Amino acid sequence: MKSLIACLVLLAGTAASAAELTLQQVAERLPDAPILRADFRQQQHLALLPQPLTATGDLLLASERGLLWRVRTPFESEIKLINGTLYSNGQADTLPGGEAFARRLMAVLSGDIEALKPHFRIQAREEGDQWRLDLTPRNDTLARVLSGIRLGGRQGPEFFRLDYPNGDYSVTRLSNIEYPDTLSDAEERRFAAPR
Amino acid sequence: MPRHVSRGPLLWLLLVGIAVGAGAMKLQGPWLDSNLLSMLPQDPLPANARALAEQHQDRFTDRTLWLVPADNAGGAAAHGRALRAMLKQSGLFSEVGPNLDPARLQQRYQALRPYRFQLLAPRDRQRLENDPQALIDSALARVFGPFGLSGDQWRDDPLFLFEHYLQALAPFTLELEDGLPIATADGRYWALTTATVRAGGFALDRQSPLLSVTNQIQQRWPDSLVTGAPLYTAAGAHSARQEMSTVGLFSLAAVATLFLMLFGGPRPMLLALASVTTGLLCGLAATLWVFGQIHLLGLVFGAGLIGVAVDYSIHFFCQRLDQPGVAPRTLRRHLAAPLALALVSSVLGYLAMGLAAFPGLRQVAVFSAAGLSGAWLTVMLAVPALSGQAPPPPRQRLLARVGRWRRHWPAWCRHHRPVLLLVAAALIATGLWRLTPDDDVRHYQSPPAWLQAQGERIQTLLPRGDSRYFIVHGETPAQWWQREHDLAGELDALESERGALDSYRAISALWQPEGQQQALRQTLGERLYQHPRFADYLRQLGLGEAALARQQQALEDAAGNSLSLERWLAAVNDDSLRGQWGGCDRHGCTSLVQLAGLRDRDTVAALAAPDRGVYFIDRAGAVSAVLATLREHLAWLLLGAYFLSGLVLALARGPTKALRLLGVPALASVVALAALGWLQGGFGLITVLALYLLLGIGIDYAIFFSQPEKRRDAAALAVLLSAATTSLSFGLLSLSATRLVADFGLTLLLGIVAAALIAPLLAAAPRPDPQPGARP
Repeated sequence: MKSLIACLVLLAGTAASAAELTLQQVAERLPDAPILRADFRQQQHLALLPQPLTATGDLLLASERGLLWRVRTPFESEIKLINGTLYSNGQADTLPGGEAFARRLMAVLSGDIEALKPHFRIQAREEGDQWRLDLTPRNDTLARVLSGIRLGGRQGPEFFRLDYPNGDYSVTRLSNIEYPDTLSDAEERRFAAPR
Repeated sequence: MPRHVSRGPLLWLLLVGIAVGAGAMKLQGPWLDSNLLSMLPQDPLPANARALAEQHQDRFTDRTLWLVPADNAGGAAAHGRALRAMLKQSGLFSEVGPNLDPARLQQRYQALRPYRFQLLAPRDRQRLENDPQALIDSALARVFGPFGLSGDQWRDDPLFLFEHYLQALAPFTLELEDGLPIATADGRYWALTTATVRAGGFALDRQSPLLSVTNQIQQRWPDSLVTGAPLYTAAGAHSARQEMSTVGLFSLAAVATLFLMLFGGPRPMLLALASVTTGLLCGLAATLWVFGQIHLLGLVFGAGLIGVAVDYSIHFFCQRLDQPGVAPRTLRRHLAAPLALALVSSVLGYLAMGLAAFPGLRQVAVFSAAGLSGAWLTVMLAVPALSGQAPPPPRQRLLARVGRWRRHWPAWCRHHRPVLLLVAAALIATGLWRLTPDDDVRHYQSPPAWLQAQGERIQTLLPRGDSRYFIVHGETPAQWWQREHDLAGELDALESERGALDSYRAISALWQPEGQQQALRQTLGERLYQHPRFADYLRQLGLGEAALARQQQALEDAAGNSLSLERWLAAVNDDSLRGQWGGCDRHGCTSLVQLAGLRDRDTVAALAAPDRGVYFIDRAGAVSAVLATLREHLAWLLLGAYFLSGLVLALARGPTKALRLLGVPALASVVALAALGWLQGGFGLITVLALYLLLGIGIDYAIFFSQPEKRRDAAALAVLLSAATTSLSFGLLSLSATRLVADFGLTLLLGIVAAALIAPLLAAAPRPDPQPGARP
């Protein structure tokens, strides 16, 4: 009897894993690129608001350097995250959630599974031709502000979704994704002069 | 000797009894002080400010910090828990933590929320004054930024001002895992533990357990890191104690062996040991009685004192050897005058050292004066009566040989005077020229390399703190706040314009007096909530008119809400902020401003203005400077000591003889310094201390040699014996790994050898002789 149950459990286990992707498989699909350049479209669904808040713009992520996040609509604004310091519209500003949260976000954008693993329980699966990762915070501090993160794409991450404990969520989709080898001069300058 | 009980030994027993009793009474508490800082003078602070500064200092002096790593946060927390269990089990720590409730930030949010219109981050307060629209623009950037938005908090805080304020309260919040703070670096997770060494943890018997617990922990977690002043102190005290006890035991063993070999039978040896022990007991008891504690430095010096204290016994027994037929009591009478002279001149010298305004040196002075007096009293009171009737072993051949040396050595020197003087002058001049002052405090403690490396590594893992800080004092709460607020403004300028520091943490930057809280709420209403852009902002984001009305209503409702400093501290519930508030009493109010990443110490320190209640405290950093002052101070006092001793000697023996007597320690000191220069030792505080000991030793030698001719052979033997025992033990010290201790030992070794060689040269010749050659 015992062995029968063990067999069933084992079968169930193999069946489940057949439908899932391993993290290793996802990691293999991710492009190994230091720089990500893309347009984004962000929709924030808040219970507070009848309509989602929609924003579009472009972003530039360079590992080791930081993140440039430029909003074109509905209002022009720019956020730079350089060396753990946040600059909004050229002025030093408070980093919401602190530096740790900013690092997690950059790891999400670049699909850095190794950096995310210690902080989240990660489930990988396949949906159509895309991989999906479901991230649940391991840590109490983070779980109080964020109930989960989902991200997915064909190669690198093409969208990410942040879920909040109160049911609010935001979805950000990336398009025109490029993985250049180097930054252009103009981009270098944007990183160099935070203010 | 008749069997009647003489008064001397009884008086001596009484003395020992008093010393033991007095010492024992004081030994109950924490009696050993090994903190280098405590031998320095206190900073001049108002009465209630001192308590705050000391409390803050204790955080540094009593606290240890441990980091244990793992590849994930959960693992690190598990290791951290196990480590804490080991620390608690050791029983050495009064407090092991911190255990942080993950709900803590939530609770702070709830407690401060009703006051969110009165509490703004310093940067937002400035923008509200200068450019309120920038606050709205940055809120827009935040709404559409990458970090996302949760509606619950946004509803209460549409411009994220409260979020900014909470962030300003906790700029470096480590993440929590299972209640343990976790630092992340290099892809590893470090669980942080702080443990406070139990009060009185510096008592001698606690030192080694602290090191052995550390050792166990580092063996179990080879990658774990530890730092903290108690460990440095423990390691320092450990090696110092080992060296001191080696020297102390070695001196005693050398004394014992020589006495056994030369004076026959255990009795003289036991009496010599009794005299030294009585001296040390008296020194310890007097120091504890006067100061309540004894500094490690006092003990170091005390161990060195053995060599001087034994001289009195040596002298007595050498005379006995030379004149076996003379009754001990008669010998004592002969010796009373020279020994008393030796004692008084040395004691005066040591007491001169006590004039320095440094607590540590006063201890040394009291220890030495009481110690020498105790040893002397033993020789005067107890030794003659107890020395027994058995005749001393015949040592005529030895005495004769020493006598030959005593006569031939000066003769030889006189014969070669021109050459000797030339060579000596050249060697001494170049040696002195090579001597460089060395007051680097690091030479006073040489922490083990592993401890230093771990401390440096920890600094890269955690947000950098700084041991330097400001104390701000005001006579009224309002004056205190204004003064601290002004200081904060100046620090802001230094921070942004000159990069003199990374950041600071001041209560006045985060809390304003209640009147100003109300004014701030009003300004917030006028300049921001009634700003047309604010209504636009809410409307464009789809929050609608209702939201605007609700915000304005909430602002109205908050009228009259304000937080007193005490209630604010309770609501914030942060140990480090609470530790910065010294409270108010009849002397006024005090607070502490913490600094981080101080790069330009002098510029920041220049903000201090004691007349406006602003004090910059940099105890550790000032140590080197203080040591240099102290060295100069002591050097002058050394001259004073020579003067006092000279005065006593002149009164007793006349000015010419006094000069000859003083010449022995003076020349020996010059020779020692020159030799130190050649051996590339540093000339520091401890060298000057060694010269004080040398003054006492040199005068002893000189006085022994200046006795009537018939007693000089015995005196020469006494001096050679004394020089042999003391230079042996100080020679050992000169091998110490701690530069300080080595310098101390080396100076004395060289000085004692020089004094023993110079003493016969300067002793007034038995026959009237023309003035001895030119002396520097």
